[in-house]
Amino acid sequence: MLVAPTGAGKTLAGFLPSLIDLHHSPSEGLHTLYISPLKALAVDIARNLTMPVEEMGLDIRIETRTGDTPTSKRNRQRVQPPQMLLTTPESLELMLGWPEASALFSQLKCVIIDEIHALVGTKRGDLLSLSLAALRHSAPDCQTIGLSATLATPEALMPWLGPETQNKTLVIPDLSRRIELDIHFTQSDDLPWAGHSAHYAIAEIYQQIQAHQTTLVFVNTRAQAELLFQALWHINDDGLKIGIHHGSLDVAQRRRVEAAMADGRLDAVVATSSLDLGIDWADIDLVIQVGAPKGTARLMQRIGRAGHRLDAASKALIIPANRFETFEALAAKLAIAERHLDELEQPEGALEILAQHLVGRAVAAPFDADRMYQQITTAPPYSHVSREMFDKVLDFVSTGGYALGHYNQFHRLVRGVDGLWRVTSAAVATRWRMNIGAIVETGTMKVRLKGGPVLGEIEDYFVQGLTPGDSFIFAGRVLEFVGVKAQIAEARPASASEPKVPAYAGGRLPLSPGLADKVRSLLTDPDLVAQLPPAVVEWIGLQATRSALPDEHRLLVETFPRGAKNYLVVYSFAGRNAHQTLGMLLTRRMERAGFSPIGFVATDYAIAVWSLHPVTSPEALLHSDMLGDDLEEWMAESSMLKRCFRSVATIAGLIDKKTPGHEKTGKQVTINSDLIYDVLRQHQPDHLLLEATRRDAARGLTDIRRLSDLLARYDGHILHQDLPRISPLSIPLLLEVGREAVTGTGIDEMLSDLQAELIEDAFAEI
Amino acid sequence: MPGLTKSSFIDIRFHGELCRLYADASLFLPDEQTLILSDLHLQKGFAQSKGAPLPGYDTQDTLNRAEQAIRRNRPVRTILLGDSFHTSEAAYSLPAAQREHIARLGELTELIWITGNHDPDLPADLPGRALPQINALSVLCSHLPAFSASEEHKLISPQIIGHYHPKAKLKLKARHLTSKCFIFDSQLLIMPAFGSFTGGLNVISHDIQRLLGPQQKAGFCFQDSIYLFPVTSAHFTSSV
Repeated sequence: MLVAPTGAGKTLAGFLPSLIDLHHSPSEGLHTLYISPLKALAVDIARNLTMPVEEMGLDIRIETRTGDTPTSKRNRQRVQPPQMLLTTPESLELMLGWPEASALFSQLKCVIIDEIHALVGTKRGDLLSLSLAALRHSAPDCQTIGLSATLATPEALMPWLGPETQNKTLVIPDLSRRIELDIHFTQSDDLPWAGHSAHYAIAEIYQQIQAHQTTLVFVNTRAQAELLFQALWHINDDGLKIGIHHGSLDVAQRRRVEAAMADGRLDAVVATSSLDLGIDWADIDLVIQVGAPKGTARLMQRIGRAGHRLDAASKALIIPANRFETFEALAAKLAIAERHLDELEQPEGALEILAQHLVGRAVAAPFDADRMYQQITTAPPYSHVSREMFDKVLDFVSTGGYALGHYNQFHRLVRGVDGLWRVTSAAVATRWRMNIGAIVETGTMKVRLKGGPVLGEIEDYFVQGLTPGDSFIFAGRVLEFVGVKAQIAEARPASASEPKVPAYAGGRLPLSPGLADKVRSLLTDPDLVAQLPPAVVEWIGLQATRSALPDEHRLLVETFPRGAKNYLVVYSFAGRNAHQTLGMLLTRRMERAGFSPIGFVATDYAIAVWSLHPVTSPEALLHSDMLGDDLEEWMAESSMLKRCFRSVATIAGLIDKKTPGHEKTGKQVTINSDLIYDVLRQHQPDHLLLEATRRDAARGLTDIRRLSDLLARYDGHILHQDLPRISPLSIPLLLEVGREAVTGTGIDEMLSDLQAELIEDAFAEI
Repeated sequence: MPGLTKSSFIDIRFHGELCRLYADASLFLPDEQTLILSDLHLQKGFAQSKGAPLPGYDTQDTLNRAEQAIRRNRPVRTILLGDSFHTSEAAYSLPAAQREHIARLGELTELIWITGNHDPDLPADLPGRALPQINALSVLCSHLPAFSASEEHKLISPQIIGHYHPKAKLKLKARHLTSKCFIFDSQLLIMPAFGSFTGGLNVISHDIQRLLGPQQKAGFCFQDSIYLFPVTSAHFTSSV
C-alpha cells in the first residue's frame, strides 16, 4: 500500500514492479491488471505509461478496457489479452463473468488499485472487493498494490490487499508539499447571501486566469460548471482559451479538452470532480476552488493538481460563493495549515451488491454455496456477513425470496443435482451483463446539435420539462431545444439572455464532520471572525445583537413569523444529510403536536422548518428520544427510502436500469418502484430488499450517528431565541433552493384552501 | 361551499345521476346500489416478472382493497370496468388463494366483469358475468369510450369508462402533488385505476383531453381524502 499525496507520481511507481518483471522475464498473457475509479483516468494512464515503455524499448502491450472501448477491440482482448490491462471495477466484474475468466486470469501476477481511497466505503468499492475476492481465487499468487492519497488512518486500508495470511507493507514516503492557499475575501459588500455561482467574483477569476500560465477552476456541480463557463466567456475580451470538463459531456469532447490541456494549449479548464483524480499535467500553476470545499481531503486532492514538481509549492485560491461559504473556506484553510485530514468511513458492504455479484458468479460457472460464502467473507466490506444473511441473499437471487408459495416460474438461479448453483437461462446472464454496476443513474438522454455531433447527456426529466423554443445551457453553449427525435434531444445554437440550466442528480457533497466542527468554533472566535470580509463581519455582528451566535455549548434555535408561515431554525452544523434526517423527524413531531408543518430546507449548517402554527417550546421537539420510534416510523415512510429502494432494487436486479431516453407512455411498460415498495412493505416487511434499503438509507445518512451525537450533546442545552422577525443568520437558509415538502395536515389544509380558491375562481367567472 | 372539509368521498351529479366518488378510486351509485372499480390489473407483478421475480403481492393487495370497498357500500352488484387482469394468460394462472378470494367477493355482491383490452378473454369459472359493456341507470359503463358510428369523435353519451388511468399533478404553494383522480364533464366520466401496481396518464395529456369538453372537473384522490377541482386552472401541470 503506497500512500502519497496527489502529484507525487505514485501511479507510475505502482507499475514499476510489473515493468521490471516483464523486462526480466517476458511472458505472453495478462500479467498486470490496473483498476481505476475513473474511465478517463485509465485512458490517461495508458497514454502516460505507453510513452516511457516505448522509449525504453520494452515490448509490452498496454491497453484499456472500459464501457467506452469499441466492441471489436473488446472481443480481441478476450482472445488475445494484452500484458497490461487498464480498466474499471465494473469492467473487471464483467470480465470475471466470462466462462474463460479462470484461464484468462490464471497467469496474472499483479493487480494495481489506484485511488483506492476514492472507492473504499462506496458501493463501487463493495463491488470491487467482491471482484478481487473472486480474482484471487483464480490467481492465488497475484500481488495486490494499493495506491491511496493521504489519509488520517491509512492502516485501515490494509485488509484490501488480501487475506490476513498475506504479507503486507505500508509505504508512506515523506513527500509533504508546500501549499500556498489563499481565500478571495471581497472587501466590497457584493458578497451574495445565497447561491453557488460566485458570479460576483467573475472578474477576479478571469484576472487570475490571465495572470497564470494554466489554471484549473474546480466547481462542485455540473450546473455550476456550465454557468461559470458561460460567465467567463461573456467577459473573455482577450480571447483566452478556456475549456469545460464534466461527467455529462460526450467522451470525445472530454478527451479533446484533456488532450489540449496536456499539450498546454488551454489557459484554463472549468471542471467538476471529473478531474479530481488523475495523473498530473505539466504546468498547472494555479488551482481555483469556486464554492465551499466541503472536506479537507477533497480540497487537498484538488490543490495537488497544481505545481508539477515535488519541490514546487501548490498554489491555490478559494472563492467562496456566498456568505456562509466564507466560514467554510477559512475553516478549510486552517485545517490544511494544521494538516488535519478527514477520516475514511468503511460501512458494511451493501447486500444488493452481493446479490448482483452472486448472479455474476453463477454466470461465470456453477458454484458451491459453502465455498462461495468463504470467498465473499474475504472481501473486507463483507467480512462480517453471517451465513444466515448470505443464504437469505442467495434465496433472493434465486427465487425472489418471497413468502408467497406459488412463485416458481421465474427463478434466476437453481441448485443442480450436483449441489452447485447455476443460472437458469442465457437471458439471466444477458440481463446481469446489462445491469452490472453500483451506480444507478436517473434516466438520461443524449443531446445532439441538429445536423451535428452529440454533445453529451442530460437527465430525462429536464428534457421533459422543455418545450420547443426553450433555451438551455449545455456543454458550454446556449442551445435552443428543437425536439426529441429517435430518443435524442435535438438542439440548435441560440442566444437567449436567460437560458435554463440542467439540473443534475447527485454531485452535492455533504460537509465533512471535521470541517463542520471547525466552522462552528470559528464563529465564536473574535480573532478569526476579524479575518472574514467586512460585509460578513457586519452581518455576524448584527446577528449577535438581534439574536445570538451559535456556539459549542448550546444549540441555537430561532423561531419567528414571516408572511403567513412560522419558521423554526436550528443551527446544528451537522452536514446536509444529517439535517435532511433531522428535518424529516422534526416535521413528524411537529405534525403530531399540531403545528401543521409545510416544508423544510436543510443545508450543511442549519435547518429551517416552516409551519402554519408557531412552535412555542422547541426544547421538547428536539429531545434526543427522537431517534427511537420516530426514526423507525419515518424510515418506513419517507420518500428518501423509496429513492433508496429504487437504487437497491435496480442493483439487485429486480428492475432494469433505465435505458437512455426511455419514457413512460400512457401504457406503462415498467412498474413504478414506489408501488412495489409500498406493496412489499405491507405484505413482507422483512424481505431482503427492504433490509438492504434500510441499510442503504442508514449508510447514506452516516450521519444518523452524527445526529444522535448532536442531540445527545445538546439535550437540555438549547438556546431558544423567539424573535419578532427573521434573523440575519437565517437569511441565506431561507433563500436556499432544494426544499423538502411535508405530507401531512399542512398539505391537507393547503389542498382545502386551494380547492376553495379554485372554486371561488370558477364561480367568479360565471 | 361544498366539499371543503377533508372527506373520504364526494357526491357529484353526472348526467343527473348521483355518483359518490371515493378516495380509494371506487365509485358508488346509491340509486342503483352499484359499485364500480376499474383497471385492477390483477397479476401485473406476476406478468411482468419475466427476467426478475417481482413481488406478486399486488394481486392480494388489490383484492383486499376491493373487499374493503365492497364491505363499505354493500352493493347489489359490482362492475369491474375492464383490464381486471393484466393479461388474459395471467387470469388463467391465478393462484388458488386469490381465486378463492374472488369467489368470496362473488358471494358478497354480483360481480360484472367488463372485458378490456388487456383481458379480452376471461376464465369461465370467475363468479358473476362477463360482458363487453353494461348500463347503470342512464349511463353506459364500458372499458373504452364508445363513439358514434355516424359522427367522428362524437361519444355515444353518457358513459363511465376506465382504460386511461387518469392522474393529475397539482401545483401547490410549496410543492407538486401527483395522484390518481377521477375526471369528468357532463358526458363522460373516466375512472382512476384501482390496481396496486398501476401507473397513470396525466389528465392534461392530449389522449384524455380530446375526450372531454371545457367544463371538466377532477376528483383528486390524495391519501385518504378526495378533493374536487375544476380542471381549468393553471394549478394543473404537465411534467410528471
